[in-house]
Amino acid sequence: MTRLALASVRALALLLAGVAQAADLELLHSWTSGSEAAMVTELKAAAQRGGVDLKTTAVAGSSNANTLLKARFLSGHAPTLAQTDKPLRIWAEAVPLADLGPDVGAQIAALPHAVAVELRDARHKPAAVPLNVHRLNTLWSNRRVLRVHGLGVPQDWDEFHRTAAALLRAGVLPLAIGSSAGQKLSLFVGIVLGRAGRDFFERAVVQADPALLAGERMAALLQEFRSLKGYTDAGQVSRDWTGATALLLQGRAAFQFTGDWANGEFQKAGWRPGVDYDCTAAPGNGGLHYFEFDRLVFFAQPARLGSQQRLAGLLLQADTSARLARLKGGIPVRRDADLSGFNACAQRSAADFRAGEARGELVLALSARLGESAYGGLRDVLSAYWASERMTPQQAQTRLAQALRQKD
Amino acid sequence: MNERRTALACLIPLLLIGAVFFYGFLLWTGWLSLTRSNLLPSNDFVGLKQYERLLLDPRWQAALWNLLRFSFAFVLLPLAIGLGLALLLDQRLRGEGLLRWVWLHPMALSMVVTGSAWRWLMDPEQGIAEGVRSLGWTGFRWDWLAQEEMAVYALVVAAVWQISGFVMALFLAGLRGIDESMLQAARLDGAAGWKLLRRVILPQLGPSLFSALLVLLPAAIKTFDLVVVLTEGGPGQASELPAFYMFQMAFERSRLGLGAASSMVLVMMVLSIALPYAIVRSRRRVTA
Repeated sequence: MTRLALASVRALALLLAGVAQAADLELLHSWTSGSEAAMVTELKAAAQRGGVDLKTTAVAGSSNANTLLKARFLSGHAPTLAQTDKPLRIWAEAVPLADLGPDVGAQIAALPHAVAVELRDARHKPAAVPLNVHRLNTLWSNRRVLRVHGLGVPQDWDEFHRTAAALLRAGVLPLAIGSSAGQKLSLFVGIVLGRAGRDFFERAVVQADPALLAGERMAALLQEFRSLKGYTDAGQVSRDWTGATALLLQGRAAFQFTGDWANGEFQKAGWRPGVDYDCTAAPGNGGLHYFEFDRLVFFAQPARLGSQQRLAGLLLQADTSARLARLKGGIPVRRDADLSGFNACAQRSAADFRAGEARGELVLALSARLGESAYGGLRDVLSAYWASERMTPQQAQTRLAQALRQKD
Repeated sequence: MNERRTALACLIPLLLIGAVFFYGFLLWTGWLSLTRSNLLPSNDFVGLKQYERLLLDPRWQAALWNLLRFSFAFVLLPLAIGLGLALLLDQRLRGEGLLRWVWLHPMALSMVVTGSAWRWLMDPEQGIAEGVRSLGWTGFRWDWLAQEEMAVYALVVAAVWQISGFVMALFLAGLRGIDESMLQAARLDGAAGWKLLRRVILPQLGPSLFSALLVLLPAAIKTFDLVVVLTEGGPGQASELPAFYMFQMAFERSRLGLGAASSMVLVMMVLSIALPYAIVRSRRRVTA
């Protein structure tokens, strides 16, 4: 009986453990779309050229990848490195991270400050490397539709409202949006940055200043945020961001707010930037660059530390960084990376990124700055408020303050 | 005796798996709900803190309220529709075999398939609504999926479509089990139509009704897949049910302790329905 039990347990353990690792390093990631997969292939090739044996394990969907990653830790077979969308400190609190050493540390120190701080653990040891930067506060405009109606790309929110009203009268859907909370968050951030500026955004949303959150100004911002719903359609509940981009490509919608990954969709359709479509900062955002960046976190595995450090060093080189970014559709993290071969949208984003860094005005995305509870709570409130006809801006303010106060 | 031992040996692996995967994980979840577990399980004991967080979370309260609205419709509608269909089929219809096959068919599909199909059908822009509009009723709107108040009932539509055939089968079995001589006697006494149904037939369907309730109530509490594929809990969190909340917290939000607490509450809700039934059954067996 006990032997039977033991055998069952052992079989279970084997099942959970999965296949044994043959390669030196293993990367767990969720980059599965066409452009993302191309980036991973290049990443592997770069590792190979540098003499690092890298195996990649792809899982579709970032939440599935996160779940698998946790299961791998629980079963004692953690990968050596993984893509992460969480602030590094969340991982640092949960599991030991690798120390990538002084060479990598020096390279990280040369990166824009807003990026570099997210790559070190609490003891200031480098434990992650960035791959590429994605600009999130981008307004995608359908120039073809705008031209037909004699309209231009709006530079501020007042102009946006006037343009959208004109489009509504002409029977064109002004704003394409999908169902995810992230797309509503993009709108909200675009309004806060565009109407109230970076300082207000930092103090009210990032630092959760109770007076600002409860103030008149926030109420007005929330009101304006929901007023945008009047420019959208009911079909939003069953489409994702690519579905929204498709509405632009079909000529049925004029604008979309989403990150610069949309660029690839327009390029695939053969649209030319500046002629068929346009990519500008969200109205009133000017040169503000609100961004997130892809990064790989390295877990502590002393036997493999040498390979980990070598791989991290390889990925930080300017030419590797540029190649990976070009394939995935963002911009390189390094300020000195060569931008030839990037299209006009990426060039503009890179110019704003570098200028923003020089002015000390880069805005790192909330996903990397708020705790998970606060960030999740913020998205909950915004999407509930967006969906609701009854929730008043004041009620939303109260819930916003509660959500942002939460500690993990 | 030897036979008995063989039977036991065959059962042990199953019992072992059951013990580990059901009771083992139940206990583990119970323990996690008392710890500070976030991204990964931890053994940092915090007492009932997670339950306190859970009860104060407006999202959880909304999920419970949605569950109440959902279960009310999800239990009553299939009972009414199932009974109606069963009574209809019991009239010795000609196409009974075919009709029964058609009405039972949704049961053969998983909730995921049902949900995906209804997601298209109820799509405000492309689904049935667009079909009606293209027939000439241009002002027609059916956008429950986009409405805060109605999204829960969009779930009900798909779930009722799925389960009503099953309830019909239960009632039909009950109807066929009624002694024909009793019906004859009632008819001789002048009972017919509505009276016959209410006084003679319905009281005898008690066991069928009970079985149906025992399937429907726990199914309502555990509804998860339908929410995922049909509404993703939206718009906002307007159609979120507790099981979906539990998944979100435990696996997407890295609040494992909170998710564990919510799943313990769910287990207790299901047990509160299943336990009385089990007790009644075991008592009955003792007296019999």
